[in-house]
Amino acid sequence: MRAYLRIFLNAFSAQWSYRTHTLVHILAGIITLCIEIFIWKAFYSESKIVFDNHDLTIADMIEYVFISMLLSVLMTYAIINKFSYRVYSGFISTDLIRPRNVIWMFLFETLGEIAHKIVFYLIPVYAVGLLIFDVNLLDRNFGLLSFVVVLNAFLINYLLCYCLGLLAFWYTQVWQISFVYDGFMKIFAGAWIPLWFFPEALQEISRYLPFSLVYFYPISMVLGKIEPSESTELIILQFVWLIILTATYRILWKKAKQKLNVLGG
Amino acid sequence: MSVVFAFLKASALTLVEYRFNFFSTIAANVIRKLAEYFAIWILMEKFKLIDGWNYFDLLLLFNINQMAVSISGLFFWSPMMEMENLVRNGSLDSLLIRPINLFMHLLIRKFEFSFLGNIGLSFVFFLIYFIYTDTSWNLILTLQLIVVLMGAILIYSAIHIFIGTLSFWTTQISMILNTVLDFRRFVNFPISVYDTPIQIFLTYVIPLALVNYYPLIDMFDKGSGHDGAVFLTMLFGVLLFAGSYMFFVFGSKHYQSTGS
Repeated sequence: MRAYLRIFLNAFSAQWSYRTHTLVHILAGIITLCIEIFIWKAFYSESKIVFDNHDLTIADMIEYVFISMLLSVLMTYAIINKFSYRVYSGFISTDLIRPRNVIWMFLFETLGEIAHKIVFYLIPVYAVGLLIFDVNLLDRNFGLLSFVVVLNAFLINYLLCYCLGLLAFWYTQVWQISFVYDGFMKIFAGAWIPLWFFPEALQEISRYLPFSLVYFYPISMVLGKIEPSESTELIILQFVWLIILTATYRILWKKAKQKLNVLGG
Repeated sequence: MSVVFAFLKASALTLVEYRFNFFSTIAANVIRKLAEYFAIWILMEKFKLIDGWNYFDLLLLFNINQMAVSISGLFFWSPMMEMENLVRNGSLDSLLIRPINLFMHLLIRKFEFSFLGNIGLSFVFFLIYFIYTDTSWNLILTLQLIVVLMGAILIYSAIHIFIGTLSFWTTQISMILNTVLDFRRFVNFPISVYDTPIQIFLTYVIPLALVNYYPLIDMFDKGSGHDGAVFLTMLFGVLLFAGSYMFFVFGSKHYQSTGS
């Protein structure tokens, strides 16, 4: 456990060397926040659409944007690039000979980076956002169930990215996957546009994919837009996906180790 | 001219060598961009109008922005991102002693071919726009659109050059360039949806609203007081481009290598 704590702290402080990156990210976060909120405001001022079953006000949408930003810090896809880099450079060989489980080492490294992002990205962006937009996030009743749903969402995303990252063992450079993944999560997982606004057919498709379990459903849960009966169903679905992804990761990992071809000497 | 071809050939050969990497990068860019176009369609399908703009108006606005930034990126993105490294490790000196204009040399050294996918995509969406809208597209409107596009490309190119040139004096320019270019996300939507300070910023500080918003208002008579914005875009494009080119020349004249 101490070794993992060490990895966590190392990852946290390693991020500190990218101070200017941090500033750029904060600015980018503020831009995203502004664009999304102003766009919802513009849409809401024109059409008075009543959404089936859901009473969605502009205040809800502004909170949606804020919660989505909070989740985006947890739902990192850096692991894909980590594999891409390590397999490409051959550093993966040192990871493999360590007396620790690779998935746990990467998990704690990721957690360290997330902790850094919370302090040096999320808090500043929220501070500015709360100054500009009138929103009270603390009013929400964050129940235990919301916590479970968000935690599961984090694990689903982590395992999904881990599996995608393992493809590096076959294709060496897979950073393009993370690029596409980021775009897809933004649009098809509901990080930007809630699934309520999607055409019926797309909503139907998304039911069979794990992406909306990462952003859309956890956000709706925190917003209080999910009925108690639906929430049990949601958690079961999340666990099913966790089992599927764990199995996939184990199979891929086994094959990847056989496939591994460390370049250079 | 033969030098240019020699460099182009070299770039093309590099791509052939790393075919898989080239195609997967283009594919990644296109898929991700398509998702953005798709998002706009989803939103407009649901809400129909944003501040008086319908889906096709918004598509044109978005597309002009995408095409302008991709085309200027094709030429200027990698040279200007690379400037800081060239200055830092001193390899700029070796470029300076060659018998070819430094600016041209930087440009032809490396084309960022990965933008080709996005450029192709924006062509496709222009076609879609023309096929599905019944705006009577006459010669004047078409010419206006071409003028706007050229002006927009010049504006984005000027931004690339101006910020890249700062590398002569200071470091970490690539990060500043990325940040400034990030503001382009604002003009994917009509700027009238934002608060006044943001509108002022996008008009006077980083004049990205000139890329697509003001000229489209002029072309489609969406608001008053913007007559001639089409030509203003072109005028500003030429002025800003010339200005930043002169700034680049000034910078290269005052460049004192990293020593040793």
